[in-house]
Amino acid sequence: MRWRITWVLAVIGTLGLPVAAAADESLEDLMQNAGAGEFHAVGVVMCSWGSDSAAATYEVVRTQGMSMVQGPGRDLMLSGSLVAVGSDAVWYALEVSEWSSWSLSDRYSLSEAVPTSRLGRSATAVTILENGSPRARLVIDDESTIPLVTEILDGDGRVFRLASLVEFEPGVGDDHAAMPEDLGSRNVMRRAAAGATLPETAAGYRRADTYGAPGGSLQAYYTDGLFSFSVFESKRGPMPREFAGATVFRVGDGAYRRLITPTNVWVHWSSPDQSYVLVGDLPPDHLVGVLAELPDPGDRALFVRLWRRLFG
Amino acid sequence: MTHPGDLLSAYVDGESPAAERRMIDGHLDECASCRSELAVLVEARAAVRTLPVLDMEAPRRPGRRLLRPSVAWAFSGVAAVALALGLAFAPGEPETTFDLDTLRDQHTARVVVDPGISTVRSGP
Repeated sequence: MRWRITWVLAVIGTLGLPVAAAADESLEDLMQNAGAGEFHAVGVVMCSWGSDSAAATYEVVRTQGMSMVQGPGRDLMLSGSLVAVGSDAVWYALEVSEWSSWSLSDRYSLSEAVPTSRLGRSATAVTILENGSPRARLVIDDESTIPLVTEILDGDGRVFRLASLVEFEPGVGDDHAAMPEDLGSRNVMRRAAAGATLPETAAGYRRADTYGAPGGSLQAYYTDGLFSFSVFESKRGPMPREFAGATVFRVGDGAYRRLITPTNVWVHWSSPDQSYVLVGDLPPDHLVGVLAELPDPGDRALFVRLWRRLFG
Repeated sequence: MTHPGDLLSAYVDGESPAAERRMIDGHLDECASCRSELAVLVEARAAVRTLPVLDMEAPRRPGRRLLRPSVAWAFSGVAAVALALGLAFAPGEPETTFDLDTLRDQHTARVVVDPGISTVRSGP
């Protein structure tokens, strides 16, 4: 069976229509199909932003609707809306109770498909365009529709993140993935009222859901359908120790600290009353635009500190 | 005449009108109880008059000021600033902080219910 997206694009090309005119639907199909196949793979993922970079290897098994991702430091078992996180024999589970339906921003479209090969397999190369400029390049296995290579580009067209499978075996048996017998504690993420400080949209991302988070904080989940990030908002508090040596960067007049992991970028800042952590897979130029529309960093004035200390 | 009672106090002080004084005199001639009461009043008046008279203005202590006013103001200023800085920067009520592992897992849990292009959105 040939890859469905290739077929759709071929039909569009045959009709002589501009590819971009119907590319949204093709891209939606591509993304829906990317999560449907069964396989066993070993891959590497790398991320680079300026002088910061990170890389890791991982192993993925997806079968019968479940995925097992084994990476450095922890393992993940995914089944529907349930995520089990563990290392060795200790696990705990998180489950999302409700979520908004997914939709893809109309700023993305799909380029024409180019036949290629990868890992000795027949594949198709496509580029995801953002307002006509390349944002991501993918090599997709024709048989399974699984992305074998994913390159995310920054605003200058440089590769910001690369995920590449180095071993790939489609259609694995049932014995590759199994939910742990003891999941330990199980926490349900429940929706909460959005805080007043976080906007409904930011640089083309919409706030899809807001959840209550541990310690009385809030998690606002934003997505444009291709990339996503969560902003965690809490009462102003000390900076997490992981950010102590983080790179400081500026957006406008505000100073932020950022950390790079292979799959995510982390940003921390505080306004006079709140502290924030953003985590997501969005590229650097998107991040800058988003931060400009979120609450600004700032310190408390001396007399405000005094007042808060004396009267709360 | 009935017992003069409270009229005795004015009688002792010589403030009774002449007619009243005559009546009291007549009563005292006949009433031993009132004579006894009169004697107590007279003794009390005499005792009060013997108390010493105090000068209500306290004498000043001779001596020097510990600090000159300018130095005292300087110390007060330093103390006020130290208090302000202490209140502003010293650890106060427990504040909320973030546990990044927990945040990562919460984000991952939400991400994976949406479609995505990468096999490692939930990876390391």
